Amino acid sequence: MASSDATTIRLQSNDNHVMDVDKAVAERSLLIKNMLEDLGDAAASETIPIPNVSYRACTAQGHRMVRTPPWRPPATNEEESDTRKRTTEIEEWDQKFMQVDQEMLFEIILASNYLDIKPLLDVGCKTVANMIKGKSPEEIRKTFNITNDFTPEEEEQIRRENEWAEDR
Amino acid sequence: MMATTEQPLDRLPDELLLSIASHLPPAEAIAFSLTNERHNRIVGETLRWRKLCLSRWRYGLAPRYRPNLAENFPLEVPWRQLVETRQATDQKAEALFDDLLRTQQGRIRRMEEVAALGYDVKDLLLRWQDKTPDDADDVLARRFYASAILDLIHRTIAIDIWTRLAKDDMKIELVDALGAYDLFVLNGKWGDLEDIHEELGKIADDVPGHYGRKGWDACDKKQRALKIAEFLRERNLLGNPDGTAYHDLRNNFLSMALFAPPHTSLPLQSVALYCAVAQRHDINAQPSNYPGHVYAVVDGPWSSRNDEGQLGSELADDNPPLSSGSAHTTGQRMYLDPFNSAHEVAAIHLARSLQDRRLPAGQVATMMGPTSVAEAARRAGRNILRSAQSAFHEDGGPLAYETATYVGLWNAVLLGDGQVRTRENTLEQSRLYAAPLLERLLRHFPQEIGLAEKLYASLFPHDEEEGSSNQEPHPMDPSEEIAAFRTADDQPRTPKTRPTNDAEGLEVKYRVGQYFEHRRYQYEGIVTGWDEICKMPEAWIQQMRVDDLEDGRGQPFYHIIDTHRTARYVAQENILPLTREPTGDLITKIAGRYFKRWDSEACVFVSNLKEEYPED
Repeated sequence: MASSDATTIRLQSNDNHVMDVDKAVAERSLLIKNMLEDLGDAAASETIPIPNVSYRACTAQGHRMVRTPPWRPPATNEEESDTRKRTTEIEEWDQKFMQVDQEMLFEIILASNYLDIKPLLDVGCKTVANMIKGKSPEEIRKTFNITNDFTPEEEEQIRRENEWAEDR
Repeated sequence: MMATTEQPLDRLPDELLLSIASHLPPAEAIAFSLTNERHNRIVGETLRWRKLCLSRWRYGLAPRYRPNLAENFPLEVPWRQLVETRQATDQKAEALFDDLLRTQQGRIRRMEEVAALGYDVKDLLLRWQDKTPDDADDVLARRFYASAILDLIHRTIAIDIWTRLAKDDMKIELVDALGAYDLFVLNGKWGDLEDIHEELGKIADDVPGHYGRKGWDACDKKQRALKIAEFLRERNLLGNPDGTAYHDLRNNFLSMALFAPPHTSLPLQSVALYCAVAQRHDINAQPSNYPGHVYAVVDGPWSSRNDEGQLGSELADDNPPLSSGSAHTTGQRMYLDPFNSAHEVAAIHLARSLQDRRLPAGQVATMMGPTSVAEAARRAGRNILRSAQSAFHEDGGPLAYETATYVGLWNAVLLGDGQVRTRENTLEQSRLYAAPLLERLLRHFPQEIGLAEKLYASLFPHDEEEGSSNQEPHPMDPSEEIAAFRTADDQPRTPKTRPTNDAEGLEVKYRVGQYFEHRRYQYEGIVTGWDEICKMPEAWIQQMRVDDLEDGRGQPFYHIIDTHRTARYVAQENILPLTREPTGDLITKIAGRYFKRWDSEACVFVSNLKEEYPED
């Protein structure tokens, strides 16, 4: 797996796993991109720690995340011109990509937030939002294993406040 | 209780929870906020700020924040911050408004300062204008000044549109160029440019549904263009079935055609509405340059499937479809008359009628083509001036006439009359309108002096470089008059105390606020000031034959304002006090500038000119 090719860099996850990643792909993360710029040539030989991201988030399902969009190489001009087509393509791909267990999903959201990969973060948040859509508060609690920490009185009061917040 | 299993959402920081919720429609964002305390704190609070903001303010929020449009992403806006900023703006405006009601000094300057806050204070001004209770101490003043400031805000926008149009700004849409007239006469009512655009959008969205989505999708652009005309005519939004009221003032305004039954308009406005809806469906429709009537010029290509290059080569403005009917059969250009019908007008008829007038070919080609936005705006201006003349006697009354003339003059000064001229000639032409414009402005809308200042600075540039060789001011340059007006606004007023009873001369019988009828000419008016004796120059006294009056020039004279908003100077013997309640424009549009309210017991207006006349 190891490679000394100048186009790959070496990352180390918080659980001490080391992996080699295509540089262009890794730079989809603004965090890593900035870090590489700061390090300059040294980057090729150094191992870059990413302390907030687990190996699991990067491999397993994450393996695809590293190898395929949205961590994929920048689009060519030709692709760029047909923005509309590209967007739907990504969306279809995203949907499949996000068919993971909840723990993994939140893992990806946190990782993309930490690594500053905006498109991936957006997809993650939208996926969670889709899991909320069409559900009552009780159903949402079940879906995400949320403990209701309101007293019945509090809940009633908040319900009333929010009636007011609902659109006309 | 057993330790709960992990709650995955707990791992997300606040800002990520908010990003997730911002992908939810409001109702579901609320449901989410009800799930536990933390979610309520983060999401619920933002939602409540949003609601608070939207319930308080409609104007000055970006359209996508509007309640009916913001179905998604309601949380990405910093609502709380927005509420706080808007609150601060309102407070600032309230303080300025209270001050300008309280004192005459710097009143116009303060009105300008409120107006400079723009659409952010429109809600507040509308509230003062429409919701000030009848029994408020300063009800007339409050309503009057709120309405005047609203006019100033709207007119500033309109003038900006026309100024940009005069500089060949191609981004100005036809609807804005024509809707600018609406802004001039809106007077705080429904139908500003935002309202017009929103309504046009809704109408455009309704068209496909009306014909069935499938049927609509199967139509090419030409069929769609015709269907849109049919749809708008069925909705009664185009044309004027009652031809007798053709030149009514109301027919000149897009907002009237859109919002006010019976929705009649002039051909230009009908075509403009048609084009605006058609353009929202990607149809290239523009008003025609045709003399005498306005058609819609609709250009192909009709089908997006066709090779655009092939069709485009035939689409040539310098080759108008004169010789045959091929133009509308091969589908390059079609003419519609949405004012009169939903059908296509044969180009050949239009062209023949021009040829019959023996016009040169080049001119025919121009007339068969679409008009520019600037030219359409000029045409509208000419129509309004024409309608204004009939308005004097009919629908609007004298004040509507004055306002229509005022807007027509602004348009003429800014956009000219469309004749090709050298730069210097254009300037001279505009200067001709400058004097009557300023006269009307000072009489009816003195708070708009700032708009005049800007205009006159461009009409009569005071060129620093040429200063030494060209010191003489232009004979029509009113900058000194304007400067004097400014100074007068900023100065404290000189108080005028009433003469004591044992003073010489005749007693000053009436006070500021006296409602009266002129003994000889029967017009109604209100006293806004007085002199112990006639203080006009000798020439005026001679001309008006003051000495022929019973009590002559030695009697008290009164400054008055009449129902035409004309200031006059009237001898005491001609003042016939009225005890009935005043009505109409006098109470709604005139009195508020000088008075706080009508006192129905004493039958006088309560003065708001206390600095000048402290005892009245």
